[in-house]
Amino acid sequence: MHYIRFYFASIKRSIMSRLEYKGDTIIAMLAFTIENVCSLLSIYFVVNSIPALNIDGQGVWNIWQIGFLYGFVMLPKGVDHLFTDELWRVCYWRVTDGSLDRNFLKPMPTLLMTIAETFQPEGFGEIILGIAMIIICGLQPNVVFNWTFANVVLLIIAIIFGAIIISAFKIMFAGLAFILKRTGQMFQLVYNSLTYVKYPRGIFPKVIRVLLTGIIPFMLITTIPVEILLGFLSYNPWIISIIIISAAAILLTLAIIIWNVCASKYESTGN
Amino acid sequence: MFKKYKPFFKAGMINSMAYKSAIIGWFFITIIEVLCTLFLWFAIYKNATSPVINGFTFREIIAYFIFSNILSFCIFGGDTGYRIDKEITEGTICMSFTKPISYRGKNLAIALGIIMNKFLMIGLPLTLIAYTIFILTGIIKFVSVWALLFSLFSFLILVLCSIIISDSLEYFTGICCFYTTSGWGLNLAKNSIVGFLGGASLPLAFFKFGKIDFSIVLNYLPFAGMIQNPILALLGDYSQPQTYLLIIHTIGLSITWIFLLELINAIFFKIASKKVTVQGG
Repeated sequence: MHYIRFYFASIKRSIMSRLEYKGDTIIAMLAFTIENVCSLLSIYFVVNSIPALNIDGQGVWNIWQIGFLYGFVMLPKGVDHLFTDELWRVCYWRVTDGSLDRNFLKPMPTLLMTIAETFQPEGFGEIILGIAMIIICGLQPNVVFNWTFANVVLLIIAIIFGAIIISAFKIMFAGLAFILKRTGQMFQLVYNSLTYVKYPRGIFPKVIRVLLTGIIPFMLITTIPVEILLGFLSYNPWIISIIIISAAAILLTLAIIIWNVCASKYESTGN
Repeated sequence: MFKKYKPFFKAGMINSMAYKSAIIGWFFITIIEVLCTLFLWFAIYKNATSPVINGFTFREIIAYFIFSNILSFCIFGGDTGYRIDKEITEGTICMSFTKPISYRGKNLAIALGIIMNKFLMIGLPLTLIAYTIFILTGIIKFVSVWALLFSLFSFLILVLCSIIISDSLEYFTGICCFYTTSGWGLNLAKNSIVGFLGGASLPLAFFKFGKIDFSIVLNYLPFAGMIQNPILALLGDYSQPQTYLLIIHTIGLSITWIFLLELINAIFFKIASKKVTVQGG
């Protein structure tokens, strides 16, 4: 209870400090929307240059189905963005500039202290655009869904536990920064793979599909649930839901262990 | 005249060398991105009705993305916008205003130092290696030694124009921070727009909505001179005489934009400097 109160107090302070620059906060929210609109337009221009995207073993994907997938990917990404953005700073410079020292001096878990420092309202820009994309693309007559209770549960689980999976990777690399000092570029490498789950799985060879499903399970939380909903895959949605929850639990536990082990070896490098 | 800006140029160069891990990280990211791009475009071209889409064959589009990744890494790293934003939020901008040097000149010198170092140490060698491989494998057509020299020379001129145009837009964003007092959002928006309209993610020839071809207009904007135009100088078909004219026209357009953007920046700075708020410091 004490930790929860502390977390919300910190978040409130973070929001107040961001609102000190109201204009820039609004521009930043718009900026994330602009970034995603640009990225989406790129996909549109590419797919629009051919009659249809016929994927081996899956059939034909139309532009609206790809737009729906794109919108869905933005949801777990946006949720993670809201709560754990401070970890990017840990990966890039907070160890080297010594500003993380103060988090080790307070009687609070360092991970909670660090995450609670920043609430990033820009994530709302991604979530709003993601929902808009899902609605616009989902309402098109040539997008047919396989709506069942199990599929709806799968989508909700994919969003919530998907955000936890992305955050778990962030925690791992932020923890590794205690030893390696700077892990931003390494984490960028993992995070950038979210770009490729915006396309149907069938485009990529088996080795990339296995990598993005079994090791960095971003396809598991985005492409697979959407492909099940759109009828491109016939996996059992309950089993996939259980796999997603299990993957999130395993990765989060692993991330916390890495964070704690690396935190015990933390050395201040700044002033 | 330029002597007083030399220390800033040098500082920029040294600063860009401090992040070796960034260079290694970028290299691995690029390899994976190019690989995934390759599979994506393979699927696109497999479904196309013609082997040429919007003037690009499959091999040319892959070459375009390799050059685009190299150029984007070098050109988008000047960080003038973020530097001005930091000066405003930390309050150190008042120091810059009291010094007897041009604020624009100082920022340009730092950015040139950072970008030139990255370009000469990484961008140019990698471009030349890729260019040689593409010529040997026939992806880029070898016409004559003269055409090859023209292509490389015009590429270098266009890269220099690209660096200055990119920094002019960074500086413009930085001045906008005088009004917003924080530039995180502005810089983020600028990066997305510039990358997209500059052709970093896709050649502008693909920018079509049905029968409306946006590339006709976009090719005349300054953004096109940042990523797309230097690459087209390398990929151009020099067996066609009009390619030479097109490249010369592109260079002329880029130089015109440099003058125009610097003029806009000078006027904007004059107005905005009366608005600047010094925080902290």
